[in-house]
Amino acid sequence: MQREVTILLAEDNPEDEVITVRALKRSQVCDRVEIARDGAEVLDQLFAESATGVAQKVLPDLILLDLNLPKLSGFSVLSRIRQDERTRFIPVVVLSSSAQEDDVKESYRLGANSYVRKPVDFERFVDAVAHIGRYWLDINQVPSG
Amino acid sequence: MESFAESQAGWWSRLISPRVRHDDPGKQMNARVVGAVSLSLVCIFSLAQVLLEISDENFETSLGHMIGYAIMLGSFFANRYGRYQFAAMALVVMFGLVPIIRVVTEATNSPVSTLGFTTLSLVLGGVLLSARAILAIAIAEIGAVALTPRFNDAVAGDRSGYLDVLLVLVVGTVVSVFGVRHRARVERSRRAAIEESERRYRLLSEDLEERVKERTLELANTNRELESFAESVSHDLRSPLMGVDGYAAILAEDYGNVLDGDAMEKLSSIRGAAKRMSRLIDDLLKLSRMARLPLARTPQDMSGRCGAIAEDLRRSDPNRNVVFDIQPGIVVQADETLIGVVLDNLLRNAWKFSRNREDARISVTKSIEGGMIVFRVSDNGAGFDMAYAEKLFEPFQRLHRQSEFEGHGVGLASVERIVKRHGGWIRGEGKPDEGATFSFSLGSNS
Repeated sequence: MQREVTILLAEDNPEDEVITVRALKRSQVCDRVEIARDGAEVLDQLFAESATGVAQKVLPDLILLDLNLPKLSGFSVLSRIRQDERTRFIPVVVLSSSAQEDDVKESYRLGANSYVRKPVDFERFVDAVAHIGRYWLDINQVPSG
Repeated sequence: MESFAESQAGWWSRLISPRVRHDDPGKQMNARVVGAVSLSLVCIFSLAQVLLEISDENFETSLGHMIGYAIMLGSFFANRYGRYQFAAMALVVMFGLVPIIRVVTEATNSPVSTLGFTTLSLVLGGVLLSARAILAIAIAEIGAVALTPRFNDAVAGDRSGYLDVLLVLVVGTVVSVFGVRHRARVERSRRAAIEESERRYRLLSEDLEERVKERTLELANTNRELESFAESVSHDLRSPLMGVDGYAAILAEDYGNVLDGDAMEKLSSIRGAAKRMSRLIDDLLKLSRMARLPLARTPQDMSGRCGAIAEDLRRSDPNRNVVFDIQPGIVVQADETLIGVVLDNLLRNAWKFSRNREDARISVTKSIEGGMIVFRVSDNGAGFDMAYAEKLFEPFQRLHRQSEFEGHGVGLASVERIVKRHGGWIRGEGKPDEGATFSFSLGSNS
């Protein structure tokens, strides 16, 4: 059986979550979407279980990261992801409603693979999500280790 | 720098002439005239007096007077550019009166002697002319009187000469002392006043500089705050807007089979409004970023860029027949990105507002008016009522209904900002249904 393709969505806004999940479903790019509603939760989901030695959790194939996260900001989460051996090659796409130059720069500096400004128009958002999914999950190659 | 008179008269002039100069050449000229006149009067009167004394066979007195007058003349020579000429003239008049009075008193056998006049002139001289003049007069009198008894053995009983000397000395000394002290006081207070005003001026300018620096910093901070405010507001406003549009879309998707046509239409209105607001926010953001972009002037081929925009517009709507009349060879010193925004907005506006015209014509020209380069973008489209012209460049202000001509009212506001950042100006002229002309300059170094 083929492995489940998983996306980890870090998003604190419930409406945005619903819309993003809907867009992901529509574009049919993945089998499972996991949600983390704040920065700490993202790290928990990625590292907590493996740290306690319990069954190695399956890491997501793609992380969609909002920058405005409670507790730990998107930037802190991103830098932790990039520092850890296990997660440093997981593609991270920043999904933000801002396109502030500083945010874009900082994201890239910390190792984001892509930066996407969420369009207000739902159709365009679905389109963007479909593109992201297709590219990072189908077309793009990541190191296996 | 030493003046001619100073260099000529050397230390003597420094001793007897006050160093006062007029900055105003007109006043200096006046002083020279007065100086020349008074000098001539001194010569005439002293000559008259000396001649009178000689004719009286009063050679000794005349010799004394001659010495005194020589000193006086020297003093005037050295002093001829000073401001004391008026005082000198008064003195000269007094001295000049002496021989005349003497003639009169001798003729009428009056008891009035020259003594009173000498004293009077001394006092006047002291008050008006400074201690140096007193010194000169005193020496003259001392000379005259001291020589008298030696040559005149008929001095017996005539003590007026000694009295004269005594009076001259006493009055001269007193007046000199007062004069010098008064002058020193005046000079001191004048210097103190100058120093005080200099100090105040320095403090003021330092304070002003400090304040300008402070305000500039404040302004820069406020600007930065405003920009980041605009950024975060746009971010925060967009996020819920996404919810509005997304949920309306999901509602239409999930309940499309239950909702009737009217409900679906209303949902699409909600989505339309959300998108419009999102565009407004984006434009607002662009406007605020425009102010932040650094400005770098380089030569820009304006004709070429207008041509490219025109091509672009033609491609966007090939059915339209618009004549573009772009003056060739216009080159302007402007910021590459920003001038692009200006031309794009103006030409797109011209294109948009002339769409109801069969023979639409859009022109771009350059002219020189009052030594300033002025660019013009004109069309023969819908135009506008000049009564609302001042609203043209205000953000989000529109002169046409959305149903007639779509738009957000940000384009011209951006254009005005850019033009002003280049140190220029922009003006719009129009007439309803006849067209509009936008003239702008990009500052003196365009």
